[in-house]
Amino acid sequence: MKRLVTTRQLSLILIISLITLKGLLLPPIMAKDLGRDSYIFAFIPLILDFLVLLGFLFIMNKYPGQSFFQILQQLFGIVIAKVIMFFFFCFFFIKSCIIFQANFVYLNENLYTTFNWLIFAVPILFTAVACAMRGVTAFARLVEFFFPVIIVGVFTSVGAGVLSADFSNLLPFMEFGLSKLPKVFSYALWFGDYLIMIVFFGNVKTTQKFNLRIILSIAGGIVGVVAFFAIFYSIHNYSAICHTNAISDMLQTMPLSSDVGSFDWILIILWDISLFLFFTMNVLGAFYSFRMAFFDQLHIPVAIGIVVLVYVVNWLINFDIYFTIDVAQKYLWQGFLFVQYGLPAIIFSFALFKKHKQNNKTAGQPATMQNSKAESKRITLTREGVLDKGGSVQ
Amino acid sequence: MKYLWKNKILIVLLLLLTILFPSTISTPQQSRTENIVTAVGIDKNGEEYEVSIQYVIPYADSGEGTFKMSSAKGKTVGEAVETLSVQTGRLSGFAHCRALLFNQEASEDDMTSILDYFIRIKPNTNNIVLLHTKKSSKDTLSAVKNFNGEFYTILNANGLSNDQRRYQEFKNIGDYYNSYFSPSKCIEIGVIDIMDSSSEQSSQSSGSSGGSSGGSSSSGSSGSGSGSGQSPNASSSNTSSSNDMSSGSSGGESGGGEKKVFNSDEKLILKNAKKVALLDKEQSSNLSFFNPNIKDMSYSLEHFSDELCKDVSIIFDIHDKNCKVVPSFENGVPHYTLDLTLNMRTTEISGGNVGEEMYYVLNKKFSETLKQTLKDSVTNNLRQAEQHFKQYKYDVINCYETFYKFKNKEFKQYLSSLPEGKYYMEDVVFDYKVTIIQQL
Repeated sequence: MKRLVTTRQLSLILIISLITLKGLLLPPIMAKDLGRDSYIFAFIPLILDFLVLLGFLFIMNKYPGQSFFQILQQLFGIVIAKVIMFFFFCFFFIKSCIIFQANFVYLNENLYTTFNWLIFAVPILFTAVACAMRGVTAFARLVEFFFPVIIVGVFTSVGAGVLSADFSNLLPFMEFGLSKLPKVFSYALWFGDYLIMIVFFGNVKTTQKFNLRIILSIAGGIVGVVAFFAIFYSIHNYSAICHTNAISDMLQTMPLSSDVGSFDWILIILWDISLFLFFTMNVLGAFYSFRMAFFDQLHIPVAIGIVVLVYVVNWLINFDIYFTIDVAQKYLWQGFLFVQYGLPAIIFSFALFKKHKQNNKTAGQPATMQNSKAESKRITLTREGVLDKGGSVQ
Repeated sequence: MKYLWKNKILIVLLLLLTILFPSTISTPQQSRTENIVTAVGIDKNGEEYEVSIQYVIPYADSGEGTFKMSSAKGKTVGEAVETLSVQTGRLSGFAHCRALLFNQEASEDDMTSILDYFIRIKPNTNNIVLLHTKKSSKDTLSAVKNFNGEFYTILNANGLSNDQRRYQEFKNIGDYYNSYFSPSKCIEIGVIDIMDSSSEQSSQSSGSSGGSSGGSSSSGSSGSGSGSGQSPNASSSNTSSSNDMSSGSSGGESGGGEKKVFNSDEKLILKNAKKVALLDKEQSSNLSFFNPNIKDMSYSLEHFSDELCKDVSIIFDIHDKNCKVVPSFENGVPHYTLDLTLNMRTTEISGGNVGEEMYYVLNKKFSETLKQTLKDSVTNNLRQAEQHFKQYKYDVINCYETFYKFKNKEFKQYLSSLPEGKYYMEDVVFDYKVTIIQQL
């Protein structure tokens, strides 16, 4: 029997996706443009992302057991489906590059001021490839395993921050009105958290109250992210722009850190686990999209090729995160908006209005069991193995 | 070999070891390449900076480090730190640095150019406490050097640590930048000083300095008494912090005799990264009433007389202090109302004619006369502080922020109505409501 991702696991994956990158550079750089109202403006893309999630849940329910690519094929035909998957590949690839870079900056600023990231990164990339190859269920179990410690780290960091927060720093409410609203869209790069769901279509065990549980956990996550932003601005106020890693700087500015020495290092490492999981998640997304957009063969070389490309791109730009931010905010944000919100909106509209012909033979079955030639071949060869590993590959 | 190829996890482990092992063993111990700096002092002399560091080199075998001190000069702070690295043969690591001291001349220059180096180095150094010293930072650091090694002990011993006591609020680099980017651009910095313990004479000057505009404040504060801040001042009331320069001494070799480091209870006011005033002990204490984070204070009432006693000095311990600020506007004029509640306890009565009943009353219940005198006295202290910050145009009480946050529209109108060059605090009306509660 095929192993499927549980509702709980999917919720945890989406929460990791929601919180990880937002706990680093986003609050400081948003403060530069949007001031103390950044936490309010952050609501807008978060809500848009939430709508994307609702759309995906709708599609997932309408096309049970089918992979995302299969749904696209049904809605648009194979050519457009491949084009869409190409866009998703670009999205996940760029995001992987940025997370990889953020990971470097995070470790470099907090733990190892002088370390050779080029060597240190190799095992991380290697593990990411392994995770991508093992499939979504293995990855989901990994997330489930680490999630409690990550959450303990987050709560401890934020809890410590609350002690030195002055919430009056958030006033006046909407200092500049809505005049700065368009600016918020230039931060699109840090959002689009639930696109990773495309990998999980057809691989999720839809139990009772599946939708409700996902929606509630993400709603809680959104409130948590906004609260985190608010606490960050309450602590740092005008100097928020001077920071690079919000979550770790929250720890280092607390009076307690002077006394307890390197206690904060433990929490810093916990967040790095979250970064690793998020990176792997995006590699997984890029891997899946690439295979659907181009060819569904040579899995190991493709996975290795993706991470090597991530590595090379970052090496070429010298891991300069501010360069990446500059490029993303000047040239890429429109593209990100299109992939994050435009494409899901189009797919949702088609899914909503197009009549779905239920294939009685395949309906309800896991995505791996359906009409891929390559998959059929492999099923014939080693049925058990394919069902296990094929979760992510469909 | 066959087993090896079948076991993927083993292959992965071996691969990781192959990648990481050479780079790991070729990396020297961090203790051999870095000094762990615990305190740094910066002296500006003309166009040159002299950076002094107190540092420790940890030895794994002994479990203890040896505290050392080095200093070097450079045209910039960064250059001096580089020179220090050459001198000591190690890089300077500031991750465990507790305090940054700077001298008089540095405070008169642009402080941001001094601190800039520290906000750019990694890891984050935002929580380094900023301290001003009227003498050279180098001398102060050498006086600290032998006192149990670490500077943080000195900070604690002098009530300079925010965690241990709440007599004073000491600002760190993060606070500095927070105020530097704020509209008021003002911050108060703690002052430490050194004195020769053999003569037991404080090196602090008793009067306050005027600041950049050249004036000087009126009242002289108490100087060298130890203990809880008894003042020889003849004024009717006087305030002082209770952590009066006693503990935290240290042996130092410079200047002949043994040197002591102490918290001088003064405050340096920086505006736009430059010094505007150096508040003496009394002015500093007056200002502390505005600060909600300072909870513990000592307060002395002198030459107090009522129906029970005559001409006595009473020292109070302010056990808890609550400040509530209510901003309001009346006819377009901003009103800053400070509602101050002081929980006080008598700690010492001396001099004059003290009867038996006086002890009883003071322990059980403050008389109405005493309460009223205390109220008037504290209000007077607040007025003095107000006068000073209006005169020297500094806003360390967050007046701007308070109005901006809670009375935004009215305050913006008020600001736009101000004539050019007029300081926004000049027309602000300060009202004080002081409540005295006896802490038994």
